[in-house]
Amino acid sequence: MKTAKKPTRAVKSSPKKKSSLKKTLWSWFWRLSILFILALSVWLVYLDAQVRSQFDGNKWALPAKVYARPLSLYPGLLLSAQQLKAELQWNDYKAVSHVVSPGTYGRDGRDWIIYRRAFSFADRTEDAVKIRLSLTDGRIEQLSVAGQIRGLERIEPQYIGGIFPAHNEDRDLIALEDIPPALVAALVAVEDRGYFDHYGISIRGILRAMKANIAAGRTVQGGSTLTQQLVKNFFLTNERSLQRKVKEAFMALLLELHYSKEEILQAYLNEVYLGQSGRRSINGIALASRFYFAKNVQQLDLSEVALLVGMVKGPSYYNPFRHPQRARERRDLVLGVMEELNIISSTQRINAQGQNIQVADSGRAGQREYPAFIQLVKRQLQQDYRLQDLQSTGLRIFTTLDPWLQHATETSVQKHINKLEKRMGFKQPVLEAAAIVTSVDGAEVRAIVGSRRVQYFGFNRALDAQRSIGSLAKPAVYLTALTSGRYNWSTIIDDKAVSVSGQDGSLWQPRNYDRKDYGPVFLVDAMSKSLNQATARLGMTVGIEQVVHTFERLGVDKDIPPYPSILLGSLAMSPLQVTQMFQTYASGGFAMEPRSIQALTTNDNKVLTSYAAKGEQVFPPYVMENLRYGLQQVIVQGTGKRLARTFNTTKIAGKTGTSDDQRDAWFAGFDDRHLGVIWVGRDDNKSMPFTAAGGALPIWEDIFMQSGLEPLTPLVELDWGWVNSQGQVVEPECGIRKMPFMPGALDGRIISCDKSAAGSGSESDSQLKDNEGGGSWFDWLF
Amino acid sequence: MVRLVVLIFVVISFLSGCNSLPNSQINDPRSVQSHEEYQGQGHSLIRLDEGKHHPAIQVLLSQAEEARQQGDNRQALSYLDQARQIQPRNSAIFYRQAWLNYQLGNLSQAQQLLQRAKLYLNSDGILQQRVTSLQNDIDARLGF
Repeated sequence: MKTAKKPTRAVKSSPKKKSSLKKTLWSWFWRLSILFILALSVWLVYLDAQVRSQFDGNKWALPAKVYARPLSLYPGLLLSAQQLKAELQWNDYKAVSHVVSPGTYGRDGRDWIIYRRAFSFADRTEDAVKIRLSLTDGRIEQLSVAGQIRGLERIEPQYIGGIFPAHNEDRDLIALEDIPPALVAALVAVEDRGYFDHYGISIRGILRAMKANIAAGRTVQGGSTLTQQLVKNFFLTNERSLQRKVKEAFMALLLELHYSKEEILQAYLNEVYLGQSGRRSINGIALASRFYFAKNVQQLDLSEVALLVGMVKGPSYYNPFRHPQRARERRDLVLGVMEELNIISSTQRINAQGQNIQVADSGRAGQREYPAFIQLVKRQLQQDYRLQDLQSTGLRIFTTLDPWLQHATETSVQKHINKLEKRMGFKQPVLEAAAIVTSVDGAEVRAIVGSRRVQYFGFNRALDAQRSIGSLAKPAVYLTALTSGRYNWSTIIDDKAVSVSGQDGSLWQPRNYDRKDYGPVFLVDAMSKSLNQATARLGMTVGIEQVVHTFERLGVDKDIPPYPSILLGSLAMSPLQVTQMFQTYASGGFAMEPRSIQALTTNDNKVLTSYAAKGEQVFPPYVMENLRYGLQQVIVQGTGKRLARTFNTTKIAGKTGTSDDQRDAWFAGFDDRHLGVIWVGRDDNKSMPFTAAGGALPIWEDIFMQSGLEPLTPLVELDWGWVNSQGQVVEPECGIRKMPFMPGALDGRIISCDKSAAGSGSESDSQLKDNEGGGSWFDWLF
Repeated sequence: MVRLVVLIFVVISFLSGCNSLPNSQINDPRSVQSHEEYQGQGHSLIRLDEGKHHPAIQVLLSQAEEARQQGDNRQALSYLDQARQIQPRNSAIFYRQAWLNYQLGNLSQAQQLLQRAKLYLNSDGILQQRVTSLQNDIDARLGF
């Protein structure tokens, strides 16, 4: 019986147990549900805060936009037709037969008509105007606007790059009302037809995508709405996970809750990724329109609108530069959808599909960058501004870059480096180069090349390579001598073997490049022919400390050890530092830091800073004019003779510099407008089978051939006198060379021919030393 | 025939004389000099756009003066610097830069710019006088 009762008991207790288990489960379910809802609520509050904080106010870090100098047009400007055409084309101007819209130009013989676009320059906003100018003999003869003669007009500056945030995103912001309605309609039609009906996510869209993907056996369609796409690009990463997808859906719902469809659409059109240009990411419809078609969005035709909308699906895959056929097919598909939804008529579709894909010239300024120059701009701006502000607040930076000179510098460097390597029989690229061109009087940087790969964002040799300057140091030695008042160019100095013992017992015994001794030579010949022995002796006589002091006065900002070898350039400098040193020679004694920025404005064009030329006079102009004569003799008779033949003038000043074992080849030279400093060498610092005259000078020559050379004019007038072979100032009849002297230096010093013939000895450095009553320790030693 | 040649020569000479400056000078802005003129009672500069200048320089000096009158001296200096870049050795421009910097109390900058003005000073008597006068003013303010 007992056994019979047990099952009864068991049957009786089972529903109780079940009920209890059920209760427990329900209880836990509710508890967990409440917990889940609580957690979800907290998470949603967090997401909501995230959405609102990022979407309100400034949504994007706007990079600073950097512009070249504007092309100023005025009567008398030296401007070739070739340069004008190139600058207009680089600036997205189109050549047309009838000039009727801004951004176009036409030519009728020597007359040019340019319809300049409206532009906010750093100083003022100027309207679009039709400029007429006539070019005669390479200069502007006349300039007019609407029949009125004008003194000055400007073409808006070229965009040359940006200072980007870490992710390198670039964009131009645009308001929805400024975007053509056809573009907005096409985007909605192609990417999310139900956009105006859903609340951020579209169940119908997801189901349709699932069906299509199952049918295809792979992912062929996405179910994301425009809002979800925006959320993914704006707030999230590209990670493909369920968690990210859920987050995206909730954020899309939240976005729709707080913001209007129009606000979301505007954000989408500014956010959307539409391509890549080097490190620069092209984002937003406005920038993409400028980048691909060199037009404002409002100027796009139907074919271009359809192409841009089509590219949203895959900017790289449908890139019209690289894949024009794919781009065309995609455009035609979009046009078909637009017709299907009655956005356009059948005729419009047929006309647009009949057009070829026409994209902007890929070589123009808006499509490339100038890394070496931008690096200098960034560095100079960081003296006054925080990098974060430069990368995010949309500043506009107006610089000194001259695109024509930059083009000349880049092409010259590349052409000659390739030529040198070919001649040397190198199969691999081994040579590197750097070049800087500045204006002589204001030190505005007009062009920079930091590597043979001109678009390379890496080590900038123009700014950072510290290389031995060789004979570029010599003018400082001669300047020290001329400044002392004890020397002039006719002074005879001795070019014979020299030996100096160092503190560690080592001997410094420099020899001339050709290993010859030239004996007594004029001071000017010692410099122009770059004689090492004579220069070393002169430097030791005037004093190394004095020479170091001269370097400092010239603006060389570095510690220079007072070793004898610095006299011949055993001293490392960057091309920028050499530029600063030669700038003082070129400007007539004013030390100026090379300057790359003209003005800086905010995004809405408020001027923050404008920069003007500064320059402290560190050497008297007469002394500097005298030195410039010596530098001209390098071209007349010295290592730069080749330039006199090429340009048919000797009114150029310069100096070659070849370091020990021909590891570095330099040329620094200037005409009346520009100073150019060129360096050629190897990154591994090995020797090269050419000197400066064969390696660096031809690059300078080519740059100035392309940009035009303005012969030097004297800054001040010096006195001129004839000298005999002993360096004495004599009457013209018995003189052999005419040389410049400081004003008043010839008074009572001219020797008659009779006395000169009687032989009163040469005016040598040793004689000068005796007159001064002693020399340096070097003369005492030797 | 000789008479015809002489006649042509005379006509050409006459026509070229109608120009205030020879063609070559008009065509090269670097060789077009500025000419100072006195305005008002005293000899000192009153307006930045005084005098006769190359047309482009005249435009920029007028813009500089306009900016100065609106109290935007920074902008005025910017226009003067644009003028300097067109005629980098025009003493009259350097003098105006120095003058405006002096007015703004930037004595060291005024001094440096005046050195440049002196370097390129031509035979314009009024400008010479003004440069000397400004130098004296700077020296006085600097306590020399």
